[in-house]
Amino acid sequence: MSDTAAELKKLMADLFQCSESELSDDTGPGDINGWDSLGHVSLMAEIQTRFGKHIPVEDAIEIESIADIVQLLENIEATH
Amino acid sequence: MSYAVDIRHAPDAAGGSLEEAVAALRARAPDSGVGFTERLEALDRLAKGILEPSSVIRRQVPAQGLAYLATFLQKCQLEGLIRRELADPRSLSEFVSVGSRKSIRHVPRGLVCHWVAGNVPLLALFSWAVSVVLGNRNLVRLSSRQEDVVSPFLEALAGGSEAGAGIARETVVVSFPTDHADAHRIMSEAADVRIAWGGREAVTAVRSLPVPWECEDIVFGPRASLAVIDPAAIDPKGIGRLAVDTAVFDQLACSSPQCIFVRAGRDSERFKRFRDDFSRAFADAANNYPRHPLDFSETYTIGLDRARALLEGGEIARDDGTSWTVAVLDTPNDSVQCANRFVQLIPFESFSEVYPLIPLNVQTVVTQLAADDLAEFTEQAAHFGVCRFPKPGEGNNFENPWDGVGLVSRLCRSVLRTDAI
Repeated sequence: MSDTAAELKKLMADLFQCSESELSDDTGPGDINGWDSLGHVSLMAEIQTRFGKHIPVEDAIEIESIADIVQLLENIEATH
Repeated sequence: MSYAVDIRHAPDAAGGSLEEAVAALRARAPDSGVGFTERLEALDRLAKGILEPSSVIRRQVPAQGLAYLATFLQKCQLEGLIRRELADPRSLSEFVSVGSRKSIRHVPRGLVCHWVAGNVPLLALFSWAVSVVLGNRNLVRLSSRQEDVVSPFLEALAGGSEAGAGIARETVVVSFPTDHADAHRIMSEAADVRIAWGGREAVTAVRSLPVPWECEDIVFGPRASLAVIDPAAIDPKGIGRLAVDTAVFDQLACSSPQCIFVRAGRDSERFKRFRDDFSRAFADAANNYPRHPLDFSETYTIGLDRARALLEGGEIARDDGTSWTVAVLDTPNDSVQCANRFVQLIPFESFSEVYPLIPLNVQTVVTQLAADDLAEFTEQAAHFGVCRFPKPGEGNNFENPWDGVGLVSRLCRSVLRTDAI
């Protein structure tokens, strides 16, 4: 597991009040409690705060799994 | 007959009448001391507040649309939409050079009066937010029958920061009946900008009110939206997002597709596969975004529309009840009621078949086509009145421009200066 994936899962476990072991690369919106439409927006905001990287709305809409987020974070430039 | 005007939210000095509220807003100094960046940050804080699981707003305001609003209020989003219209947003804070010894400055227009739509009141918060960021004062009118979805946001904004409290004091929320002619007139005559959301009758009524000649009008009236899809260019995830775009606001939003034009022959395997995949996705979306319990009139209308589609030689896919309907028709049936999760699939081979079927009041065409086709279709369809061509999943994201109107340039004045040598 990459550093980004590990950090992201820690962030998500904090945000959605779940255990990191519940989060796999395939976990997607709707799979865990709280990752609904508002939870998704919260996650994007939290990612910007913690990683200093902004995921544009157009990309955020297409996220289907944690693996998608990791890929986006590894591809985009830091905005802060 | 006289009616009361209910002041729902107002700065301390606003008093108890509409006239006093207008006077209080007008009396505020042109520069309230809250700068552009502070405004962005206050709204960003509001967005974060909305997202908190413990947020009071989440209990007070219907969840539908809150995610869209929270996204829109984020600093990066608001900055991005302002940059679409202003080459250098620093002009909102100071004169900036535009070359040839000229500088430009953008200042608030003044008092912006908002008439909120009855069916989708949350929408008014989008234009309110842009108005606020640009430094305008705001008078928001709700119908007496409407639940106040605006004041909870202002209270949260005021509680978030000093700048937020300053901004909240620049907005008054009032409610009065639709036929309270005096109150409508007072608002209209005080306006530097009028923003009207709603159906034909509502926006026409606002436009007919007396108004200063220099007042700017922004009208978000009744609009219809479509989708144009090439099944060869869309994957199952895209179909799922298209279904959500269609279902999430029960087709009440002006950006919700009512018809989906599908680039394939009606009898082709490609069309049938798309029809089946979309129907499954639409059923899932309808299930994930439950509607209010339908009354007899609504269920009767759905049954009638289904019968109309079948009598016209169409075919329908549907659930056992009245949750969703996908009708395959050769041309759109205009008599089908929107807002009932009733989607018409229209097969086509060439874009030239689609252009004449684009309604005059079109707003959004959700589009998924190959790159060359997208370029060809959007270039032509833009001339038929289409205002936006988002991808599936982006259909209901409020953006600027909206309805073909650039909000920023309408909500501020451009001031030009010749610079000293």
